[in-house]
Amino acid sequence: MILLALTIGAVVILVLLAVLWRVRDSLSTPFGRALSLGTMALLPAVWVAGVLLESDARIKKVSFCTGCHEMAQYGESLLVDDDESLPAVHYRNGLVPREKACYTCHSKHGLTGYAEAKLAGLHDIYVHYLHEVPERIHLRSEYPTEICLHCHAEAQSFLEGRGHQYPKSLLDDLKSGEVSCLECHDVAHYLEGNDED
Amino acid sequence: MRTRRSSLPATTRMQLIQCAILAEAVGVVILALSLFVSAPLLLILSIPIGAGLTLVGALVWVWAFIWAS
Repeated sequence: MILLALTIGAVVILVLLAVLWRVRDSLSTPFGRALSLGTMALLPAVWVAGVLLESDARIKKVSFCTGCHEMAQYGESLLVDDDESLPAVHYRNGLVPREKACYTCHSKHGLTGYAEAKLAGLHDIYVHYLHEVPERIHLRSEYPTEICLHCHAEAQSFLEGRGHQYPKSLLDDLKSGEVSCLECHDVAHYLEGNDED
Repeated sequence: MRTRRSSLPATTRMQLIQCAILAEAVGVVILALSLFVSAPLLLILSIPIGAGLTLVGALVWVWAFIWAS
């Protein structure tokens, strides 16, 4: 629906630009001024904003992340029927938005997280097209605990979970990031022939 | 009463307006095509190029049509 609206918007703008081109010698009339203001500034501003928002939404989708062949197996690992695998548990049970599961769990929240994710994505595309992709893909740095805590920090299962009570400082250490969730919940993407990732 | 004279010759101004319309049209076409592209590289390249051309077209038009008129 959005795609259709944006396509129609593009056609309308192009038709108006063609009209503007035809009457470009008489733009100083009130009609010419109004036409050119709408066609050259107002309408394109709204339309471009719509295209950028739509593109941003598309780039966050799992289908975009797994579009590169090296990431396909990570997409498949979301469907593994294994209750130990964190990505599969979150994806299969709808604990993260299914359409943008990769983005939700691999980008920090807030504006800086968004910017970091964009830069990381550009780097990935650079490596994909201009470098040799390593056989085994690693995270750039240790998985940030704050991503887990964004959803889990106030959850009863996290605060009162048996495994989170001892030692007593564990909850605080988890919240401060001194201890990583992955130290215990260590089965991330289950890939064929790879028990560690 | 004195009227402010245009800082640009009429032909230059008209050429700028034409360039602005063309840049905007090309930018809109590129951005519209980006909506149907799935290859990551094409998508990443077409968005800044299309948006940039559209923005440049709008800015040149504003400059040539309003400030220089």
